[in-house]
Amino acid sequence: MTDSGRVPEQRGVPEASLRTSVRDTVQREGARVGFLFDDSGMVSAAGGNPGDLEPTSFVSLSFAQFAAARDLAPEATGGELSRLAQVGGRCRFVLSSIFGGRTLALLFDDAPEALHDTRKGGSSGPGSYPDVMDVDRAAQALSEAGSRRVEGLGVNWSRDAEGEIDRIFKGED
Amino acid sequence: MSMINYASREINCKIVYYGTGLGGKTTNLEWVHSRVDPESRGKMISLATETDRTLFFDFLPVDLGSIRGFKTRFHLYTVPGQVYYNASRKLILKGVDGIIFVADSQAQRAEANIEAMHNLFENLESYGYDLETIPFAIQYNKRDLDNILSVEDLREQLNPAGVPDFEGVAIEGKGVFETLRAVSKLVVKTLN
Repeated sequence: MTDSGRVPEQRGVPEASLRTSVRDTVQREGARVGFLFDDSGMVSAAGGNPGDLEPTSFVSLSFAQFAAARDLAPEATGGELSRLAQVGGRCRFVLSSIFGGRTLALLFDDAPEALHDTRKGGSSGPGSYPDVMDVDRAAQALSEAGSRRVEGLGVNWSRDAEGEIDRIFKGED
Repeated sequence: MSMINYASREINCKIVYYGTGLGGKTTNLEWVHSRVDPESRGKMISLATETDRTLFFDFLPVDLGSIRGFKTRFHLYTVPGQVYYNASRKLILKGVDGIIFVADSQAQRAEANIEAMHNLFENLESYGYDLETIPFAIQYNKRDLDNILSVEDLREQLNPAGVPDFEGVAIEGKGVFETLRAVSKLVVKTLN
């Protein structure tokens, strides 16, 4: 492509497998929503239903929290941090380190009474951690497949984008 | 480094405001937040201390809408300017697509500006990034204050490469969108 305006198809098997593994994990573990994001905090796959949650805010804060905790772990313990969980009265979320510097954030709607049920909602009841092996394997397979050249979006796309930038960022200078 | 997700037809670009402490990075972002159509922006997140000093980052997602079938979004971040928060600054720079360096025009902040610029180069270098290939602009902020350096002096100190630069009074919005537009357009050009 790229100036026809058509979207290039880049649906490689490893990428599709990674997205599917995230959706399946969200469902199997009984999470409300899950986001897989990379080491720059950008979402690469998602599953479930965010409802009122604003995904970008959730991911941004999850990214910051996990990165901070992960950097802190070697200082404090000499080891690595692969999981981080926070539990509240009405929900909890679990952040898991995934191959290639990625992080999987899973948000669960757990009622307070469910906190003592370690098997509620798949393998990741409040007393245990979710099983993220499928996502980890899919991420590893994606890395092994190697990075493929990605076509640019074309001058027409960037021209249209510049028009939108002028429209959105039009504030008075 | 922009993330193009062909499957979900999404493009996410990360723009980072960098610079010395109290230089006006958060003020820039607050102005953008206050003036961009609420339908085009998400919630602004500020992880700040009780005295409103940026502790980790400020974050504002801005949605450009669907452009030729791609939902396009800018993620605007500021970093904490205080010297001892370098780990946070370095983390936020990961995967950056465009950088706005907000310099404090006051003469007494000249050394701090230069230190912040060096810190930017060092942190980018640690990731193997080259500022010559990343969309980059400089804003000389606080032009309304007394005891400021001339733009020529600031250019000599901070902009020997001649990247796009702008005068600003961020607290009044002057130069805020001009700078952001310039870097944003450079970023989308890299996606050609």
